[in-house]
Parts: sequence; structure tokens; C-alpha cells
Amino acid sequence: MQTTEHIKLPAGSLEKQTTTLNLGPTHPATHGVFQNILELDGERIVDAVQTVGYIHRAFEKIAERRPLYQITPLTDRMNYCSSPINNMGWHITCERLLGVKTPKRVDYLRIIIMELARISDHLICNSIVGVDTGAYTGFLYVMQYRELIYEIYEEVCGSRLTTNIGRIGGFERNFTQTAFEKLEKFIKEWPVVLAEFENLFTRNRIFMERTIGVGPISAERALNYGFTGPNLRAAGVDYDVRVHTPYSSYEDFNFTIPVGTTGDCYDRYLVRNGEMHQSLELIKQAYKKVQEFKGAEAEVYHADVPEYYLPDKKMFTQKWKRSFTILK
Amino acid sequence: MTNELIKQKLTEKFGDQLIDWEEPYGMLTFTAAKDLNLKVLQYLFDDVDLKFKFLTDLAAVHYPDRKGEELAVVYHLHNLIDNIRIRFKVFTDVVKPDVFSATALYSSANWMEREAYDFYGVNFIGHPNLIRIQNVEEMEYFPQRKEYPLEDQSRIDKDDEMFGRGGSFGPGNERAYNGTISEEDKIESN
Repeated sequence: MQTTEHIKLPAGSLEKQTTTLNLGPTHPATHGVFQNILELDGERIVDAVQTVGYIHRAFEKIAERRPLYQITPLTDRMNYCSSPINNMGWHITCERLLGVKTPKRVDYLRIIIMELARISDHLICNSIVGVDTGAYTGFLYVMQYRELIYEIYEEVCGSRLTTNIGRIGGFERNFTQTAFEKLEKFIKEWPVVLAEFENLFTRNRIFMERTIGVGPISAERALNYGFTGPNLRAAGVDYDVRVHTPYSSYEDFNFTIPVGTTGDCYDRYLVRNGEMHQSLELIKQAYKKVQEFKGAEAEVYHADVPEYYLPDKKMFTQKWKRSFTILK
Repeated sequence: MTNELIKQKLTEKFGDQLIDWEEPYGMLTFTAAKDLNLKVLQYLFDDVDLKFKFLTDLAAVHYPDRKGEELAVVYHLHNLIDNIRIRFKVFTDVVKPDVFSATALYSSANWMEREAYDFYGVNFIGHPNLIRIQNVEEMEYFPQRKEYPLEDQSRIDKDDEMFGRGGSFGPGNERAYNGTISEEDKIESN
């Protein structure tokens, strides 16, 4: 165990040296994995030693021996608030390695699922920052509506949290009518809830006082530390991989990238909220595009990669019946 | 900014010390001598045209068959302005795996180098705090190296009873043990 040394405080301070406080192991991201040993000058953190190694599940080692499709469930566990995005990341990587080109309908369906996952993930981040600053209502309220997203996952792939959604080349089955109905329900009900959620926080005096200027980071420092995603954009860097290196046909869509200025907690909150609005727009656009497919095109849910799909069961019964009649 | 231009600039600066130029899936990849890694990184970081200010990933790889250069350290760099990525490798032997640390250039290298040390035993010279990051401090080996294979999934001598998986004597393992088919299975197969 690594420990910190007390830091001597300058003459005239109330205390002679900093106080050591053990924080955690606690779960800012996943369960019980993050411990900080803090050096405190009053309420201000001067130094910290982190331990991040409480859960290492050796995914890299396990993946050495597994076939590609058995690695997908491992990617669920990388961030279980948005496992579909990780699943898709893995599928798209494999497809690029195998040289598989996915049909447009698959891409659009994937975008629906990925943006739903983005909303459910940002929802956790933004409502939990509310809990951490003393407002529990927002969290409990939006969790009810995250259910709507989970019900869509459940309809599409059968599971809710660690989804293992999709296969290399597309989805394991086509979206059912119920899935689309649930999606419509979400598109209809969600904006009202998001507006109410923003009313609770965005201009809330207590929330602003507790987040503005907390944990700011400059764009240069954020880049140097390898920040990505909303945290990098909150620091003022307008980099979004969906725009700069589009995958899964993101280039067919029209959306904006919210960017912050100071990179503090409040900016990160605003960027995530802005992204939730953009995700909803993306879902609407993608759903419209999916509806435009008619006839046989509307039945396409995976690329032509027979190695990763079971053949049509109907085909088998027919063959079996035929051979049966010949035998007779 | 194109791959050819990057290659040209790097060749002008370092000559034939950079080898194995490749472009798998469009990403420029090359190898340098391990003493050169910081110089190359510094040049890629500082040059007014190259501007590779973002270290996407740093990882180690173990190639047990490459005698004398068993361990590789792979840097993934990203130029966010021109949106171009490159990959850069250095090889080191496994007996004395000393590589210069990139922490002074990229703060993100700090934890990633600790991870590479933890799992592959790459000794990063100049790292401010090179201790294990994920594994317990008492560990005496580097678990991601290839000499530690995963356990064989089909072994049957292990008692899994404590983990609710039936165990050696539970349901599902009878056939493995006495070599006969139970009555229930017979009825099903008929």
C-alpha cells in the first residue's frame, strides 16, 4: 500500500500540516473499485493517491482463447450503463477486420440502439451528480424513464443491463413491431421528462453553487491526460469521433456537438444534457430512415456473413420434409 | 496531412533508423529502436506540422517467438487537428526490458505505463511512480505474458461445487465420471 506524506502548511495556517483521510474503496463508476487517500487542508484536497485495482477481470487474457462472438459479453462489462455501445464497438471492429460491409438498415438500427444507450448513460451521470450535490429527486424521477430504454433493449435482445446485443454483421433477429412501438413511446414521453429534469437542475441555485468552478480542467491539460468524450468537449475541444471518423453511417445524420468552456462539473453536466437532446434527434432521424425501408429491404437485419448466423430454420424443415417423402 | 507526408518527414529526421513501415487498414505503423522512442515521440509532439498531441493508447505485447525482442511497447498517437492516427512500436528483450518513459510528454502515459509494467514487466525508466496498478503488490510475476496460459476450460478434476455449478459430483458431471448414460437421458434421447 502506497501512502502519502503529510504536507507542511505555510506559517500562519490554522494547522501545521495536512490531514490524511481515506476515501473509499467507493464506486464512482463500477462497484467498489476506487480508493483515494487524500491529503486535506481543511476542506480542500491538496494531494491524493489513487488505487484503481480492486477489480481486474483479465478480459484481455480471457479473450486470447475465445472465438470472436464469445468476446461480446465481456464488452458489456466495460461500462454497464451503456453496454450496447461497447457491444457495437466490438462488432464494428470485428467487421472491419473481416472486411464485412453492413447494410444501411443495420447501421440505422445500430444508431438507434447506441443513442438510446448514450441517453441512459448520460442520465446516470447527470442524475448522480445531482445526488452528490444533495438532490435525490432528479435521480429517482429519471430512473423511471430509463426503464423505457431498458424495455426496448429487452424487446430487441432479451436482456436489460449487460445486453450482449447484436452479432458480428448486424442483429440476432429483426426488431419486432413491439420494439418499434416501445421506441415511439419513448420518443413521445422522453422530451417532457428531460425538460423537467433540466428545470430541476440547470438553473438551480444550490446545484450551480456546488458545481460551477469545481474540478475544472483546461483543454490542453485534458488532451495531455487523454480525456475523451463529453469530458474533453466540456473542456472546449470540439472532437467527436462520430463526426470526425464516422462509423455506422453517422455521416448520414444531422446533429450538433455541444461544447463547454471551462471543463468544470457544471460544463460537463451541460454538455451531457446537450448530448441527450442531440441523441434524441438522432434517434428520430434514424427511426424515420428505418421506416423508409419497404418490402424485402425492411427485413434486412444483418450482413451476409453465414459464419456468424444460424441458417433460416424454415429452410431446414422444408429440406427435412422433402427427404422424408423421398424415404417413404 | 497524409501518411506519405508523415513518413517523409520522419525519414528525413531519423533516416533508416525507423523500419517496418506498414499501413494496415490505413493506419501508418512503424518500428523504432528502443533507445529512440522518446526522440521520436518528442519530434511527433513538437513538430509544427505533425502535432501528435494525443496519446490514445499505450500497451505492451509479448511475442515469445521473437528472440531478443520479446516485448513490444505500442504507442497509438492521434493528431486531433488533421484527424490522423499513427501507431509506433519499440521492441525490447524480456531479460532487461528497459524502455524510456513517456510521462514527461503525455500525462496519460503515467497509468498506462504502470499497467504495461504490471502485466508485462516493461521497466519504464524515468517513470515517477512505477508500481503495480491493478494487481496486488506482492505479486512476483507478470500475468499477461504468454508463459501463463489460461486454464483449460474442459478440465473435469476441479470441484466447482462451492460456486453453485454442480461440482464434480453434481448433476451434469455424471457422464464425465462413470461413463454411463443416466436413465433420464436415455428416455430423452428416445
